[in-house]
Amino acid sequence: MFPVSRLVTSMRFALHDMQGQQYSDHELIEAINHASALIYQRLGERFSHVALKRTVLIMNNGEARLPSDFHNVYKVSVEGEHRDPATLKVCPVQYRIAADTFYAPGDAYVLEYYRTAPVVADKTEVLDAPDSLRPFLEAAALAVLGGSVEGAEAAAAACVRTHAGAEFSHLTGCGPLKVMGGRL
Amino acid sequence: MPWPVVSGNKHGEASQQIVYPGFGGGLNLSVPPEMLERNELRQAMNVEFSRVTGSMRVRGGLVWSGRFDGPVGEVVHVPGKRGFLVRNKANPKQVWYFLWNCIWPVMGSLNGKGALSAAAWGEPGEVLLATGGKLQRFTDFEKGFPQIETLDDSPDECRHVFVRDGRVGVVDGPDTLRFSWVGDCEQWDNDPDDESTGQFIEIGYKDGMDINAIVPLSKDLIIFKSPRDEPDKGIIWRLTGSFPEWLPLEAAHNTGTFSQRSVAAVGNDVFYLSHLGLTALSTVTQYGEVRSAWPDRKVAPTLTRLLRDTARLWNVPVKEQLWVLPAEGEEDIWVFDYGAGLWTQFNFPVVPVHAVGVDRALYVFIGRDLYHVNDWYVQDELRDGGVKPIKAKMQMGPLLKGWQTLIKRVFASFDIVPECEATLNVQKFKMPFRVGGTPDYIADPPNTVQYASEDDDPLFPPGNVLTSRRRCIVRDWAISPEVEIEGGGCSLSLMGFEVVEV
Amino acid sequence: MTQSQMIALVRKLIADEQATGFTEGGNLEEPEGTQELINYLDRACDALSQRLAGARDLRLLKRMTVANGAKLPDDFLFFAGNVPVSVENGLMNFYGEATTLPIRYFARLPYVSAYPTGDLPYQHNDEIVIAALAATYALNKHEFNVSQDLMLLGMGGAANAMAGGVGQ
Repeated sequence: MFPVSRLVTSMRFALHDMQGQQYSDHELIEAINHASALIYQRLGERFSHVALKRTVLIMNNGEARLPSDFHNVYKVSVEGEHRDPATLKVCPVQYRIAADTFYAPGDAYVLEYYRTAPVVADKTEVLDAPDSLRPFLEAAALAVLGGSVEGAEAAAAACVRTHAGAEFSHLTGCGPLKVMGGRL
Repeated sequence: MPWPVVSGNKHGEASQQIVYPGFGGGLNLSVPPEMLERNELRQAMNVEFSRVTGSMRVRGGLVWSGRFDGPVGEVVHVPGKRGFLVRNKANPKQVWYFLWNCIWPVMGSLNGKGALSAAAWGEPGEVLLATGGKLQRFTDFEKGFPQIETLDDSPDECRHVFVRDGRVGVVDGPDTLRFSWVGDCEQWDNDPDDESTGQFIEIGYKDGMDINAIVPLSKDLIIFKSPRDEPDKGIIWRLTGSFPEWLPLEAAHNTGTFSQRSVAAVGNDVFYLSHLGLTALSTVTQYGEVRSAWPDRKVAPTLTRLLRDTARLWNVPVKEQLWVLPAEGEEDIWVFDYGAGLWTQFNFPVVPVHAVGVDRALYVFIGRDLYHVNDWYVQDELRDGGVKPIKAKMQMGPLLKGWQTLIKRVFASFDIVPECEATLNVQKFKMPFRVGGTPDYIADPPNTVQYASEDDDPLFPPGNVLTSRRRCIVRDWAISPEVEIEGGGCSLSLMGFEVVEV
Repeated sequence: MTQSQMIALVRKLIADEQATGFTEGGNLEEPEGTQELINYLDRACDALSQRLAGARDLRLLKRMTVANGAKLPDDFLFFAGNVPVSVENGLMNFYGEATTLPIRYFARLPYVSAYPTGDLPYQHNDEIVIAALAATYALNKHEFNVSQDLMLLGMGGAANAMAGGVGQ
């Protein structure tokens, strides 16, 4: 999370337009939003964790509203076990997603999903994106301003590439507990 | 940032220089102003052609020299003495003698009521006077003090006294010239056996005209006869030869002059004024004949309308000028420079009664006072009425083009003294003639921006004493330049413009 | 420099210190006189503004507050960059919703005629150029060939063309 104003300043520095003679703040904000959208889209396509978000859905009569920045589902899990109320046996659950609503029995589910891009409207706002995205956002926004589609795509691709593989991790040193993790 | 260059070449070939190369043509009122030559003027007031500078110069100023006890009537020069006999206009019998800047009373008085005429006879300072009565003689200090005595044996009614062939002549009656004994002005009777006794001759016997002026020309005597009050219907006679071979010849018809005071002899010419203007009788030496010329061609249309029988013609030899006063009461004097052949005009604070040049000095009689005109005086100093700067003006013909005229540059070459203020005016634009540069001011009513001193202006540094140049923008349909001068001591040699038609 | 000093400077440049070329006016050929010179000065302000704005000179940059239906400012030349404001009939409206981001534009230099008293709000170098340019207009009226002067001012030919009203 970083304030947009700093991004705008670095962009102006790169554009040699610190006084705002060529480009208005509106254009830079627009470019930043475009770049953010592109990058998050590409991140989502490559199943990068950067684009993931986690939330708890509280069911209300078998329905729950999906979050407003929901783009695509990643994983749904449940706290504890689900028992069939009739037989009281543990059984699997089926959920449905239609438009912006999540349908499933039960009380609460953990939803991990790919989010839509964060956007801003003012320089004073804070962009809801990790700091590691900043250079790529900047490069992509500059490319958008310059009208270069290839430049923007290249920045997005570089962003995705450098953020890949973060899910692989393993702990060094064995102990009584062995945990293996990674990509699903 | 660079300043723009206001260059005169910016109209290319359309730009034209108009130069007024001196004003040797003088006043010319006989053509429309647009047709004036570049060296002619349509108004030339209080300027004269100066032999000192070779250019038009403001006339000299009046310096008071003396006051008489009464108004000045007629003035007669006393040759050889630089003195004047001045007749009292209020009392025509009384005469004063002006000599050595003093006014001397004269014993005796004039015995006639007519116009005063005089001829030098005898010693320097002796003058014979005729006023319509018996002939009189004036002597200055020979007998101790100035006096007039009457010559009792002279004819009873003498007018127009003159000297010819060693005799004194007078006009006696309308046609007769009567001569004294050779060498003796007191004896006039005639002895038929002795040629050297008194003689007479009749000119134009019974032609119904009177002699009204007599002037010697070359070896002849020119006699003007006219019918009373009709000077332009007269006949001019030439008396050639001496007694007994003298011969009166008719020299010119239908012309004549107003009075003895409207003729002047100048060198080989006689100038006279008539209703037709100023005429010159010259001798054609080859044949001894006499020919007329009209030197007033350039001013005649205006001058002739003003001439009346009180017209006066005064000769000022030191300046080679003839002064014409067209009629008593006229305010302007018309000045003819017969050396250069050009006309200008003078205007004095009060109209002169008489003007006479003696040697290098020029005397002017005004009212009761005698003044002396001094070229180095830049103002008129009147006896009453204090000091008045001389106001002179020269106006050139208009600049006329197909459309509007734009004047971009003005220059003039002149001579000036610090007491004098002169400007060249072109419509509303003024270029002062100034010693040592031209100060600058900016016109932007109601505020004006002025430079603190004449030396501050970087674009127009103090310049040459004798020239003045300015850039300007004057744009109008017909542009009439003129030069206005206040105070004397200024002469204008040349001026010019750079113009373009826009 | 005040307005009258500016006019005096122009008169000096065209050698018309005695106000004979541009008189008080009142006739067909010279209707305006001093007013005519003021008009030339205003025109020169325009031309200089166009040139400075074309070079994106910072001194012309101004911020405006936009309200829907407000009139374009009188001294508006063009916006700095793209902004979400539409202009029709000289009235401004936001595209979409209002924004708090600053909206900036390049403004024409103020006219000389707007300051009958007091000091003119120009920098000295601008004053000289404005006076010089007004002088060339004045001389041009009298059919002087001023192409050299315009070239020296950097104003000849296409450089003097009007910049667009929108964008760069």
